[in-house]
Amino acid sequence: MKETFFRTLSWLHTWAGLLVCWVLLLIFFAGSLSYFRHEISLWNEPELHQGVYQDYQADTLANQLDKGQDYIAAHSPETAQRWMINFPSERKPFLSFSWQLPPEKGQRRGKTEEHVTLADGSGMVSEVRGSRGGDFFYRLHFDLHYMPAITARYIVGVCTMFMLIALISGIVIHKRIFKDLFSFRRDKGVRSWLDAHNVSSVIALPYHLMITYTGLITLMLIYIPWTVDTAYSGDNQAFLKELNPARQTEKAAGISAPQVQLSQLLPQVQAAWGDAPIKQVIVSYPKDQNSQVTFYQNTGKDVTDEANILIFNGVNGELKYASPQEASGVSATYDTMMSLHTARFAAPLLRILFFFCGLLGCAMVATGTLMWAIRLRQKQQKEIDKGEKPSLGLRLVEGLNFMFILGLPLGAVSFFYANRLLSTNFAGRSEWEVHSFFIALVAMGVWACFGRSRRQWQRALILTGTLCCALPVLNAFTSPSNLIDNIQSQQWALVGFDLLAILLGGAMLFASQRLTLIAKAPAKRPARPASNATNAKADKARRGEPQTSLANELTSPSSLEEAKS
Amino acid sequence: MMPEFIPILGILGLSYLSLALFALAKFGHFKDVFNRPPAQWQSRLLSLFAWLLLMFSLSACASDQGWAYGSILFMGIISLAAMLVILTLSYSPRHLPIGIVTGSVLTSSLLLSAGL
Repeated sequence: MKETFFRTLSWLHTWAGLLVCWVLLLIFFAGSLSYFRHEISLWNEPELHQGVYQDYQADTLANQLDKGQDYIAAHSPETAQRWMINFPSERKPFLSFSWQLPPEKGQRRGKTEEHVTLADGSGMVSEVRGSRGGDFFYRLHFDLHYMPAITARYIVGVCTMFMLIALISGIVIHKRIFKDLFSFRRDKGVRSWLDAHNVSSVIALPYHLMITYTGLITLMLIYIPWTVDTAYSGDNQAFLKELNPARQTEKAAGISAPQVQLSQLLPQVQAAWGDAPIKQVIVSYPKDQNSQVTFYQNTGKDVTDEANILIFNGVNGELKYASPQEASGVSATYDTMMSLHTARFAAPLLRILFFFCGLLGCAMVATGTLMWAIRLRQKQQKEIDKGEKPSLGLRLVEGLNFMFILGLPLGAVSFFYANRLLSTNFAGRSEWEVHSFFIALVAMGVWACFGRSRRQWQRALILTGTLCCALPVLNAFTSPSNLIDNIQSQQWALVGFDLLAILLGGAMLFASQRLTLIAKAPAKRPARPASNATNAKADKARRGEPQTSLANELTSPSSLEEAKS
Repeated sequence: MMPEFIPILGILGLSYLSLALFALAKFGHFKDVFNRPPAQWQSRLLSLFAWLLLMFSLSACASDQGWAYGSILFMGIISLAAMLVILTLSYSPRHLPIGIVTGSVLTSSLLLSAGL
């Protein structure tokens, strides 16, 4: 009975994980990168790399508000639906004024135009290249791409559910979870892969459980819409209105009215919040009778995802709504889960740790799929040795492994190259940045059709690693400042980007180096005919030594996750 | 920006120490490091100290950053510390005691200087 139980769960773990593993890898990869969403966006806009950095200054707020209001009124079209004044914050250290145009036909949201002030007050930066920056990775991890967002969210939801099942069944079947907590045996073939899989899963287990579960929670209203449908007879808007009265802005009345001076509201804001920093001020339907002004507080390191806001009437400046200080138990729980998933509260150090755990998640998925490929090949080894072709399933699994494990980092790198190398005047540039990500991914898929041997892995790793290491060089040539300048001017977001690129690229080169070492080593062992054969097909036979070799690529768990990032 | 790193480095060191002791409490790792199996009382003592250090590390994290933020940070820190212990054990188990000694010296000085 007990044995059947474990065997059933093993079966469940294997199939729940494997059916969705490549999509999961994509989600983990893009999700991990989106911890650095704003930093990536900043890197992707080199026009903002010089002259705009400033700290939040409480004593100049009134002045900045006046300046912003005048600037937007003078430069935005009459049809603008929202005005936004964004104060410097830790992750976006500059003052910017922006406005949102009405949505075009078929679009849900209108385009936003953002102008950034120069720190010395001498002017504005208005020409910034079109790029989706970190938003691309953020959207990619739940909306995917090239498909309707809703369909994508269902796909992602199903994959996440499978992931949760795989995690829980994995905990149950891992009998030596505490005994083997620190065991990583190198150069032991499949054993090493299993160890790498266990280590990457177990040491970040709280993170994996948290991120998977809260991931489902973030989109729970899409996955289980029936409660709201029943309680509100299908009127989703009514539900949202009751849930969050502040989020519902009144529609424009179409009657023009004078706009209240924003700086006059400041004393009321300071009376309510004291010295707490303000993140953003939004005016909806400016110069309309129904205009309203919302102040957003910068909640810093509070573990919350709910905005702390004050809403004023945009004509007479009356306070209409203030965020409640006390939330109900349910909404506080929901809010905490959301904030744990998005980690918007995380300061740089914690953000790096979240990213590290995300990479461990990538490693967990990748080692799982690689182990699958090895086991499949072991089962077929006798036939392959006789000269038969590997089965379609095996070729497919190995090919998709090659495509996704190597293609995702290459895709991200080519996204950054496209950002800097495409002409700034090119109309479709932000779309083509995104296309370049998928072109690189597909290119790896095509590569995999022609060869997936150790040698090909090594070449692909060298290619991606070199490109990744060269990102700081690219940055130095295509932006006003290089790594050294950025260190001197303390632009840590840009410095961090460059250092991480070098680190991850270096790890990929290290991994490829390990593959070379292993390639030379097998001579000591009784050589199998398959592994010594020169033709590529036989070389693909990743068993015995070759299999150890791949295990060794993962020898250092760090190089493993890096290779995935 | 810099001062924020100091107590956190100290807590990382503390977690490393704690997890290293946990690892030593296990038969296999003890043998890898000291070339002989641990006595049962040694294993128990190591586990006990490991638990104490882990608790201390959590409370240091919480008192430095508050319980909400601190406990989340603590989770991240022990994941990183566990990775470091695993790397030490896998690449040069003999150096684990050296890691423990330098770790404890560094940690205590960092934590003292941060006033925790």
